[in-house]
Amino acid sequence: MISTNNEKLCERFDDEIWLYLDGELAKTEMASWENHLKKCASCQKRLLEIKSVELAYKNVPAVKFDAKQLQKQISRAENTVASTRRYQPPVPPIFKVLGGILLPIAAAVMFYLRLHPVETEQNYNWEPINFQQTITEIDSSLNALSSDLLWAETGESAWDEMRMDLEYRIEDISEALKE
Amino acid sequence: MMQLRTKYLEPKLISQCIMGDPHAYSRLIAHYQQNLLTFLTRMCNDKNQAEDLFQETLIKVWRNFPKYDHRHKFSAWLFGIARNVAIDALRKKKVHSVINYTDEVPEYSDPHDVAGEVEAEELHNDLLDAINKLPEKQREIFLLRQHSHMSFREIAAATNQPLNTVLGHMHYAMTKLKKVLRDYDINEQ
Ligand SMILES: [Zn+2]
Repeated sequence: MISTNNEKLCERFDDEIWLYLDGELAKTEMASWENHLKKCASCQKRLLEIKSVELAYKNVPAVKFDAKQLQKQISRAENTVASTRRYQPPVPPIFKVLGGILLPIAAAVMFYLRLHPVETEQNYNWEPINFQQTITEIDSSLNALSSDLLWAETGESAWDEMRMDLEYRIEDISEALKE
Repeated sequence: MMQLRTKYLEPKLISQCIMGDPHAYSRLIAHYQQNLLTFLTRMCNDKNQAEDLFQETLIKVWRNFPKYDHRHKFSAWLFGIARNVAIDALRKKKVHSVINYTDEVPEYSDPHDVAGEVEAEELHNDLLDAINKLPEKQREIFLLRQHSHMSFREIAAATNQPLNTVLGHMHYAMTKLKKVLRDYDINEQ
């Protein structure tokens, strides 16, 4: 009785073996076949035979083709199709997002500025400043000051002149930096 | 390795192909070309014709890229198209059975095991011969299964047949091919 039961099961396995191999049966069915396989030598053999055929076929060396010939074929195919579809280089998604956000903002800002122009005071002309030269001059003035240890001996007018000169130059530089 | 490729590189190449980048297409196809050509050769039993069919397949795949559905495996789609190209060619040629078998004799590298070599070569030739003699539909299903690694449901969808029909073809093909192996005592320990 067990054997006829088994035979029926084995026949059913023969039908379902492909879906079993693909793992495309219900979970409970998969489990029950695994259980059956543990006990049934003939179904194990069925499975083994299929796998042997597939393995034997896999071991048949692939048909050899000339690599250069193949490359020619591919380029010929490429040429044939090049006229049918044009390549559109992709726009990276991040640019699309940025473009989508930034462009409307920029447009809005420009529109606002057009309605409310900002009044600037930058209409006067600055003399171009040679920073390096100015710094060198300041440096030498400071040297002159510090080497002149006896301030008393320096005439007051000379000292004032030098100080004012320094102040102007420092002002110039700080204004230029602000700009 | 295969999985890394299909998971990361392949989807990228495919979207570039959809946008029409021929360079991406070369890279994508390079991975499949050997397998595809072998499949086509064994479908039509003719290496030269397989080269033509290969080119036709490449063009068809390229033209149909905009229709490619990302939810499907690329290999399934590719081999589905190759299969259609081969079937059309076979219909036109009205090939009924074995005509000229041009699959090259495989080369074996191990110089010591001469008996093993000869035996393996014979097995391979007998197996190819038996595949060749299968009715077209059985051969088609067997080869699709081996080369494209599609599930049977995928094969059924790709060939536009009911699943049970596909399984029936596979069953008969396998029964015949098992006999070849039995002659070589592969399963008798
Ligand atoms: Zn059993």
